[in-house]
Amino acid sequence: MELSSLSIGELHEKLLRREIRVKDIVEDSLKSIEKKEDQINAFIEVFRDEALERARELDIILEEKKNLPLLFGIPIAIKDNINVKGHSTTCASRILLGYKSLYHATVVERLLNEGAVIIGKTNMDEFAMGATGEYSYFGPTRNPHNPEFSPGGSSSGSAAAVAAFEAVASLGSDTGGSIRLPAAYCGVVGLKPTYGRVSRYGLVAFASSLDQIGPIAKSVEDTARLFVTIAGYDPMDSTSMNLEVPTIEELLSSEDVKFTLGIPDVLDEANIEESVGKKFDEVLRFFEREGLKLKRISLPHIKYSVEVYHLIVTSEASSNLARYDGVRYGFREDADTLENMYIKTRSQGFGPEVKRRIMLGTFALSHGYYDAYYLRALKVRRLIKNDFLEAFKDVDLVILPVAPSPPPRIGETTDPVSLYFLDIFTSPANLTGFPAISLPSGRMEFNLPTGFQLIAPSFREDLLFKIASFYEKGHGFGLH
Amino acid sequence: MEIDVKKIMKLAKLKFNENEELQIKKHFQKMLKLVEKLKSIDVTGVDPLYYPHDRTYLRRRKDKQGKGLERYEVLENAPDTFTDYIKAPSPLKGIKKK
Repeated sequence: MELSSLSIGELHEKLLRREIRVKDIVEDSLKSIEKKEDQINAFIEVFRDEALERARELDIILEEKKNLPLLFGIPIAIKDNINVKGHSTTCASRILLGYKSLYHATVVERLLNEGAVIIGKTNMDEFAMGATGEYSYFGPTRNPHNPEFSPGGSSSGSAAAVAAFEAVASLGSDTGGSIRLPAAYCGVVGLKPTYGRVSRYGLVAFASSLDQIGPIAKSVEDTARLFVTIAGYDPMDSTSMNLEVPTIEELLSSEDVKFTLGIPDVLDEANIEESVGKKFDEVLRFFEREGLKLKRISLPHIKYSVEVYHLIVTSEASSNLARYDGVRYGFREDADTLENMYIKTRSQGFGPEVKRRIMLGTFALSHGYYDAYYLRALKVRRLIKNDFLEAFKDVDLVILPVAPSPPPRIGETTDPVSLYFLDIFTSPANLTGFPAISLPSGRMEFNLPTGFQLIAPSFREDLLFKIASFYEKGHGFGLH
Repeated sequence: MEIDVKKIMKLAKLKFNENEELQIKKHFQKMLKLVEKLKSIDVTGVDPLYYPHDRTYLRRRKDKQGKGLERYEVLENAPDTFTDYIKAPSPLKGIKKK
């Protein structure tokens, strides 16, 4: 049995009974990586020596411990757009080759304070722009349940590493669904916290009003452990909120789940593939059987989410990615003049999807078009949020599939615009800032997992965790 | 609508070959057709939502001197350096005299 297939709680029991040491967990994780990486390609860098050294240190502390910090001795993989001091942060882009992180992201600092072992940096779509994990300078990540298929993106490696038992848990980032989509496609749990709940300090900016770091894990409890560790105010991120973070006990008590779930009417017109729809219906029936109320709600503007999202995300990205000019760090293509150096560096350093988005964003922000595109998108964004606020007067949570279709085959999709529609159900939570959790709902054809998500009002992650653990107990995910 | 892709390339500091430029043009056409439907929505009197939370929680840190990055570390990340400076091609070279 692979130790990485166990939950954090189970590993801690074994550690406290002295049946295993941290070294065993870390070695097991490294062994798993060695065995599977040729096929899965979930990692850009593995911190082999550093992780073993950390395990040695933790094993010394373990001897005196009767209680363990939340993540003590747990191998955790970090998406490669989050800074870990002393290591490269590539964002899976050529343009950041040679860049070395000079500081830890706040989330990394917090994981280490809870005793975590950082096992490595994971593969992703370049600058988190993508839904399949295929837009990486380091090649695509493959779905551990069936390597011919995509694991979902953009946190492709973070979800695949957990599903393949290469790491016990991981961190991803979610700008339009980048945690929830790969979590669903890999059959694991993924949480996008409320905007402002988790510090973005040390996360490479893609779209600053949408980005949020969150955990990916095999169980709801593991996800909660990571969430309470990384959440909370950080003076280094002025958009992080100074609000109390619930305790793990508060999050996991599933006694009182007499919730009303809102089913958006958009599902009637949405183009959902039959296999996904069937699994989603099974989830609805489960909740109904368990005595939860299901109520149809109207979210009239949610159908514009993909369009609104793409105007906002490309605008913010074109501005954020202006910093990659070959001067201070990363890749540089030499040229005779400064202007030519900028152009050559950026043209050769960025991949095609990143360039497409920079171009569209530059256009949407340019003189004469700003009002018609960017500003209008921001106004519709408010209408989308208002729809949800209205719905939350009647229901506690909104339930939706994560994606309208199963994972695509790797190399199959040639039209980038068609991939944008994989975000149709996930991007609303980013546009509105609401927290959302993606949970596995079973397997489809080709052994491919699918999932559903629940969306809660701002800073009500407690509702998400309560219903998620209720579902987990009643349904069982069966990953290990 | 005819988009001046060359102008946007200039603004974005990107260069494409002819084929890539054609692809970008096609992509623009698709995306603009897609977002066209936003024009049918009545947004009169609606304030733009720049950030998910309306209330401004932005806090200022105390204006206190803290430990920053070491100069040598920053220089190690630079593609080209000269003594204590980051080196780049001249910004004046190539600019046409008026």
